[in-house]
Amino acid sequence: MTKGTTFLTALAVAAGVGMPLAARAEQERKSPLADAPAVRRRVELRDKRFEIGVGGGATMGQDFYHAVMVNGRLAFHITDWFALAGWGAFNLTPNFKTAFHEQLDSALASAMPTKERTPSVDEANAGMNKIGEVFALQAELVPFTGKFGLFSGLFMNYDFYAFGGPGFVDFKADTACTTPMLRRSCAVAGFKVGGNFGLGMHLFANDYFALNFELRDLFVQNNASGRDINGDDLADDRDLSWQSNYILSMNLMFFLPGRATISP
Amino acid sequence: MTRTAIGLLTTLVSVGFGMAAQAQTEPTTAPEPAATAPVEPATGEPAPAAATGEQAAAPRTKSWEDIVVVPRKAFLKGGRLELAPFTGITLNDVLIRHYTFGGDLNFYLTDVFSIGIEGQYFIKERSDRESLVGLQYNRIPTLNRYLYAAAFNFGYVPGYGKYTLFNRYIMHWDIFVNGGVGAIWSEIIPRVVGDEAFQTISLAPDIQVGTRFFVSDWLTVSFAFRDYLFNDKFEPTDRDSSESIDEVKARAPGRFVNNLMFTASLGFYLPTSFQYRTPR
Repeated sequence: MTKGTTFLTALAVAAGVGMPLAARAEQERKSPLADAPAVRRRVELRDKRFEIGVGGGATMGQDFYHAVMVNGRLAFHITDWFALAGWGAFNLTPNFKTAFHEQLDSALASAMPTKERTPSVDEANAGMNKIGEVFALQAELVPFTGKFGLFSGLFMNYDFYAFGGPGFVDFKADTACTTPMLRRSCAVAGFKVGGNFGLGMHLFANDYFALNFELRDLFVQNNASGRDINGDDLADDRDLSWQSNYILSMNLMFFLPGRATISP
Repeated sequence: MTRTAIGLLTTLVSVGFGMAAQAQTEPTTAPEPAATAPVEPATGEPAPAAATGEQAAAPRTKSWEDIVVVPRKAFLKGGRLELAPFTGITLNDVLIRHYTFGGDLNFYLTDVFSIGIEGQYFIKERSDRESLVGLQYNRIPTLNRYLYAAAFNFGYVPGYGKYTLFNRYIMHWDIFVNGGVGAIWSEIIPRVVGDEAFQTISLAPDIQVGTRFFVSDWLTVSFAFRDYLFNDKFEPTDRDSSESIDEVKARAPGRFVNNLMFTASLGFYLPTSFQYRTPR
């Protein structure tokens, strides 16, 4: 009886002292910030806001014609990290030749077109197409948001996002392709539908104005040279292949409503 | 009764040891005020009572007092050596692209200024467009391939920032701008297979803009655009098979080349750790 009483007394004391200790240790192991968001009182620069703006852009890595473009962008941010947007651009420089195009022109200028494959400059240029207008619809995911300081003096909020959706490219050509048979140059013209994906960022000057940069790839079927590719000595739809069209753009964006909310 | 007393004593001793041991490991932030305390009397200013009270009150539990309003930089570079292997690809030539493998070795004089050297080796790949030129235009492009390059660079870090990932995790990064001068070795790709090739060494100033993400105290991940500007020599379009390679090289036309590359690199820092020199 005495042994049992002793054991029970010790157990009761140990439980009485140890349990609060265990609870306290558990509490101390857990950081006071464990369930907290990374940033409190954060300015929600995107949540439930429209974004509208215009800017300029340029293609990168085109074979024959660069395109310097004027573009516009409209977006609605459903949450702070997800948005739906539309983007469109118009080519202002349809005759801006690439360095490769100019070298090709000079190489063909001295050529004497014969029964061989060598085209004249005019024939080669007639087959080449150029970007006219481009449009894109995109869903945007904004996982990265933050703040940076430039020269320890200029501080700006920013975000990075990835986007994807359908893309549309309207190709133009100087010479319409009419002869259906036995043609060696036939420019691809008209709307092509494909994919549109890329990366973008905002640099916020204040609550309602931001610089926006986007690098996109419009992935559509094309034959930029308009000449035979598959070796059948005929330029037609069988020479089309999926090609990338990289466009770097910068926009001046305004956010509506003009005042951003602040998170708890 | 004796057994009861012994049982109670044993229990209390074991619990008490646990509390004492816990108290010793608990105040991880306590040494910082103690480390700065000897410096403060030298300024002639009395130490704040709160600081003294904090030391006297240790051990204390974690609380909102431990939350620092302005966190310190997550990574210090000053006085450290960076070894950064990188890989990359050329961006602005539609006929030939080069993959590069190289390394940067930078020493940071301060947290924002660095000096360093870089070296890289190139592997060429002809593009689809290049392969079609012969079929579509009955012409063979005049191309050069890059062999290797080296440069001496200065670096500056104009911007520093942090970001959150879905407002859950905070990461730190910076922007860097490097510039310098070096040399690049290139070689013509003869239009006629089997013809002899010549090499050219060109002076190549470079400028680089990139961003660096801090992963740990000694590891970073960087992405950069590097632009190398040089005057390269190409195979003459009217090369005669009877000419010697020296004659070909002597009348090779020069052309200004703007070789834009995108690179990704890992930065390993020595020493592998750093110490903050200013109080929190």
